[in-house]
Amino acid sequence: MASDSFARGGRARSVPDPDRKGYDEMIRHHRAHMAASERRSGSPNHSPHGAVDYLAAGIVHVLNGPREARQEVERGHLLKGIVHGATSAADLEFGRSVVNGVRRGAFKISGPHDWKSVRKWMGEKGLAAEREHVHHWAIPQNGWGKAVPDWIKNQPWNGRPMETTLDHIRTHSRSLKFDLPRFNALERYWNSTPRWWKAANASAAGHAVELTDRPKQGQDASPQGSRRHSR
Amino acid sequence: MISDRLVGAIVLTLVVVFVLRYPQQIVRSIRRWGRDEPERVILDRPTFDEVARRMRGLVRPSLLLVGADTPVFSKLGGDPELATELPWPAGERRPLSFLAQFDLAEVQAAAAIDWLPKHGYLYFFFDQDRHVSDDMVRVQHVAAASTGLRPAPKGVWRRFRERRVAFELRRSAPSLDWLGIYASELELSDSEFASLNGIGDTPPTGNIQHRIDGYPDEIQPESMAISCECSFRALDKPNPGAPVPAELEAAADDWRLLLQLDSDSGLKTEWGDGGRLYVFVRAQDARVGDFTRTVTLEHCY
Repeated sequence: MASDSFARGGRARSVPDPDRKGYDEMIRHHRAHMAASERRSGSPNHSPHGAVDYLAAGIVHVLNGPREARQEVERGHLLKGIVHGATSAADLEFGRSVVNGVRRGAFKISGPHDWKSVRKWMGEKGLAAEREHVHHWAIPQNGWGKAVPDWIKNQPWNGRPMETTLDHIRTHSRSLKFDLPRFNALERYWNSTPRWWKAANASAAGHAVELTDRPKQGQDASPQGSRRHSR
Repeated sequence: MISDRLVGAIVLTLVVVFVLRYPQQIVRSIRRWGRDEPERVILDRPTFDEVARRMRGLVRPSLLLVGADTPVFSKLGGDPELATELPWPAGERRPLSFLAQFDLAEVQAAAAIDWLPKHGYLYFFFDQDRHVSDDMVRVQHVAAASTGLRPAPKGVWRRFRERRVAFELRRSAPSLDWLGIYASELELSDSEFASLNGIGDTPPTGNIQHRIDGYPDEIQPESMAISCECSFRALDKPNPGAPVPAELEAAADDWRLLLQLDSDSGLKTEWGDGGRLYVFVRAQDARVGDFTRTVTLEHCY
């Protein structure tokens, strides 16, 4: 159980603290060591350097997201907690989709890349079900997509299996049979783009909000800032 | 710094808008959340040789429409050479757009198609107001044509660019979709799949293909003959993997590809994203010159 002032909500101890002097000395020593280390390297030593470090830091950040969200809620920042939680969920879903997609064949490396072969591949890899229409959601087949080679646009990642044929029809036009209008932009985004793309968008938006909410560099030295980064 | 209240207001507004505006989509999305692997029990999977043999046995002639060097009647787009005494076809709201006209004698000279009349003229019109319904294309069969162009009346949706066409005889084999076989279940290698697709000599799927007769070159998996028969009988299409009633399957054999019309920047035609129109007619109807009961399907990417 912690016994510092943070654990008591900043209130002074009601009894003498025999460890206080030693603890303060340790903190001073640690800060001096960090400052010297930063002066030597010319940059804060907690920053990752290589690609592997960045990747590891990213993974840790993603995995730490739910915990961070819970802590925000515990501190009484309910909405920050919601944003953190939603961002974490989006991060995890995006990560899951990317790993699953790569594992199952979202990128067809070797040819042929004609549409029929790619559609067959998607069926074999379980990326699209029998008779399911697959929509070119990012790069169209015609229009500006005509200039894009098949090996880029005819890829499973660019194919969004449509749950119903009606959804595909309504992505491009209205449905006269069911008397339904064409999907509007928001409906197209929701129904005609893959889940991983929506997760990536949600994740990017969440991180953007977190960035704007992060204290400026000068504020990091404060006890609040230190606590944020020491978790 | 963004205040908690502002962030909260944005998040709550988005959630409320989504829930109120798209309740069905949200329910559907939640339901499909855990569904990744489409499961299918495969019974009596045909072998590659069996499928190839079946496809070869069903090869039919197909006429590829190519630009004509000599003056001909048959053409895509432009204005029709339609007798003035015939009314211009009209939809619910406006006159239909002219798509194509063919002299059946020119067609029959290129390939003897037993289910088409030997003489007469076919005119195809497109009804934009009935787009993506099975009667979006209307076909007229007349005994005599006009030599003069008939300009489109005011209010037509679109006038396509004109291209006079000649007919190039090709051999067309049915696709796996036409045969009701799901390509992925056969576990074919790429070379085997390519060899099946190469049984006929119609151009590859990625190429522009305007065609008469033969089999459709589908963009999406669909048994078009079954779809036509279902549409003709006003039935829902059978669910994927569900058995098709034998009687329906037998009746579906009667459907013929009257015209496959591609998206073509040269003609200014665009059906969805790079899609195609497929106009089908029953052989017995076409033989007697009845083109009033055609079924048109559309596929796109």
